[in-house]
Amino acid sequence: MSYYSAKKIVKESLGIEIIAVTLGILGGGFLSMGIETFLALPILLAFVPIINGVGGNLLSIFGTRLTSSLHAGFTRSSKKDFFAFAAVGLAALAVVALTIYVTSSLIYGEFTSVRMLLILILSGGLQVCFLLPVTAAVAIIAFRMGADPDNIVIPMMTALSDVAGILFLLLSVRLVGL
Amino acid sequence: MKVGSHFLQIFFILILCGLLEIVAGRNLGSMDSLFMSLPGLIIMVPPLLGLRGNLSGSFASRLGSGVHLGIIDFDNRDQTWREIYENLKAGLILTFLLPIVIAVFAHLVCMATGLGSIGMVKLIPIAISTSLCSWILLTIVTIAVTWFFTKRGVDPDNVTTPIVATIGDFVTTGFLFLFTMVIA
Repeated sequence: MSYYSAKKIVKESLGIEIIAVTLGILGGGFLSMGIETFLALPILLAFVPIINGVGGNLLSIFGTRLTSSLHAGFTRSSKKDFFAFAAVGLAALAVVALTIYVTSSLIYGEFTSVRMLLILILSGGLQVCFLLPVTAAVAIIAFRMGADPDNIVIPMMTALSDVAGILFLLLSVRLVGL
Repeated sequence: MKVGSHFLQIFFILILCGLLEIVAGRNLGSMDSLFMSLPGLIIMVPPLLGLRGNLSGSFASRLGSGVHLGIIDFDNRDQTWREIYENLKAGLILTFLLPIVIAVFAHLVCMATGLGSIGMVKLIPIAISTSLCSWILLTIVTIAVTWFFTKRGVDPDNVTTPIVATIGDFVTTGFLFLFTMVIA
């Protein structure tokens, strides 16, 4: 008898993936189309997915570590882990955003606004700080309901971060100004 | 292992994958004109990339949990193979079914919004063949990466999902480009 069963994986993944795909097409597609019309800054839009990607990777590492802990019944000093994750995530976001800022300045010849750098770090940071507790909640709820959180956390988190990423981008643009 | 070294690994892998995505973004941009010229395809690209990331990421996440549970143990091949076999069956079913959903959905959205579509007869084969080919490649990558880091004493949970997601974007875009050229 194996621990994993294909039937259980398919059953649990199918529903959540269809939700994720639907949100991906509707949320991602349409929201980003709408944004392009009133946020005419192509350089910023080109780099938003990368910043969201760094946030998404951080959340998936956090989720994967948490699900292993749930399965194996041990905790990795969860509270400390939580803040360390936020700190590491913000530091990595800052490094990647700075790299984007420098390379785009080199590619486009002139230095782009420092505000762009601030917007990238702020929206990425807000997204991470908002979704870390959400990811933890999703994993724990899924586990308590008898589902394998490994099947749920990553698709759920990608779907949420697609939508949240755009909302926090708009908020950051509003806060920092262009 | 000390807490500090865990976070150093995570910090390093986040930056590495972030920098690789900057390169990927520039390459993707150059394929935009092809995808834009074929109605229906541009709507299908983001969910297909997302699906690949989700399915492979979940597989990596299950392997990571398996390593911590001791049921994925690369020194105990029989048992590890039994667990991986169940994962592969599930992966194949999902990899085959969900692209059909995406293609049909993309087609319907494009028709409803008047964007036009190259038709389900072309979208479905493009979606399935892209999905299947990238699944085969990424499954090998996921197992290899988990094996490699576990053997070297690195917690696979710290590194596998970002690596798989990043390679997944490159591989899926490549196959999508290939099958679009062949089929459409």
